[in-house]
Amino acid sequence: MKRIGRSPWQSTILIFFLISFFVGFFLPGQARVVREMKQTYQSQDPKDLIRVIRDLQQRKQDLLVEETDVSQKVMQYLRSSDDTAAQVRQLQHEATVLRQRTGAVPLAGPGIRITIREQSSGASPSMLADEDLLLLLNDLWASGAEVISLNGIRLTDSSSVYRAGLNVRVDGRVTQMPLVVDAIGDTENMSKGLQIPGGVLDLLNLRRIGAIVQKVNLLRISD
Amino acid sequence: MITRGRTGGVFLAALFVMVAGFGYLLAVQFEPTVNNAYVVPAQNVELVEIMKGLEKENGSAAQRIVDLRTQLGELESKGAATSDEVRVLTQELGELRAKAGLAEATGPGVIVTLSDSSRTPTLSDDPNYFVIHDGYLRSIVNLMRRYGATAIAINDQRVLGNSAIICAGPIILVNSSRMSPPYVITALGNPEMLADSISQDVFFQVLEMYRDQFKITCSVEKKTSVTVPASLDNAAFKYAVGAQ
Repeated sequence: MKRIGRSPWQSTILIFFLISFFVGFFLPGQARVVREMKQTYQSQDPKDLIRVIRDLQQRKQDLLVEETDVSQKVMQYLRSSDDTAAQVRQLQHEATVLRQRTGAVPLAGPGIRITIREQSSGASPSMLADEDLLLLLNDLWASGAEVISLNGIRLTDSSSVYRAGLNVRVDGRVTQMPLVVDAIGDTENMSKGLQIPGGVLDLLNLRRIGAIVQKVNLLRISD
Repeated sequence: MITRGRTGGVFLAALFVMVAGFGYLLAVQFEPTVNNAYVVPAQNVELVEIMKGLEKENGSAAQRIVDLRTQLGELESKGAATSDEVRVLTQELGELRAKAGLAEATGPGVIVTLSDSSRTPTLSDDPNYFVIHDGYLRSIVNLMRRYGATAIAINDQRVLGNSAIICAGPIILVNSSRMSPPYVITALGNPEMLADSISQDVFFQVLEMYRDQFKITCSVEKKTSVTVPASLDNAAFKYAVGAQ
């Protein structure tokens, strides 16, 4: 009777094939898991998620303000459907608010003034880059600025800011360093927002660009 | 036998490498799950639930605002028919709302699309080049304004002068709303002027270089008609008042 069996060599090859199969089987799964981990928010730093949640909560408050405002306008309109004078008052009030928003009238309020100076002396003078300026403005908006001006030029929805040689162009208008940034808004929050460790002021400081922040009780920004 | 012995050695070495590789893969396969179970998940799962809940609430609030604005618009139109003074004021208000970004805007323009790389960075790569950063979006928006854009949106969010574009780790927020790639930046304006100027700008050319080298998405398209949504922000200031 002939005994059918495998030689050690055949067993090795069989194991080799089995392992190859499993490696091939797991490899796409591994790639998929890593990709999905990156895409889902489960794997992210809780600090980032908390930051997002705080922003969403702020957004919720902002939306509530607008919803309440529009709702009241609708109610007033329904109440004053036969009262032309009341309708005119309501429309005029909203027009005043919108003129302030669009930069048509000068505004005043509490705020902060940031004076930015480049270091022009020495072997390697420092220079404020477009990205630095955009980051500074962004951080001000994010921390509660309502109106901002650069060297007295008020920023609007269509304003661009960029360096043009040693000058700064704001809305196509040329202005020079040092740059005085006035921001009307939540003074405390704006100050805190700028001074976060690793924030824009630290960045400017590292690049040897001086930035002095002052709280001002009453700033005036022209149209 | 000698030949077979050498071949056997090679196979055993290959077997060793494969077993080690298999073990490594197995470990890596389960490692994220294990880490998740011990370090972040309980906390993160809860945070993600809160985040999604808030996004749902904000989405509903946004829809209510759109509905209320539509209702207000209808009432104003009816009122405008009753008096010349109301009609003139209503028309002026419509223009001011459009200027303030409180109305949807449609017209010719461009769409710039940016998205993270489809390629996974290797150990020798700097992963920063493979993702779209908040600063890129700020720079593109600034470029669009520089070259004459009259209204801008990123995905479904209208970008006004005071719109903050920030990041929280890998998450980009516009108007405190979470954005997901691709980031579609839509601008109203002269399509030729916008597309040509943007594509010739050094910043955009750097992004194109990243596209070629790191496979991020970066494109600019001229469009005969684009639409940007209205801002849902309230127009009134809390701190700034009219100056005499």
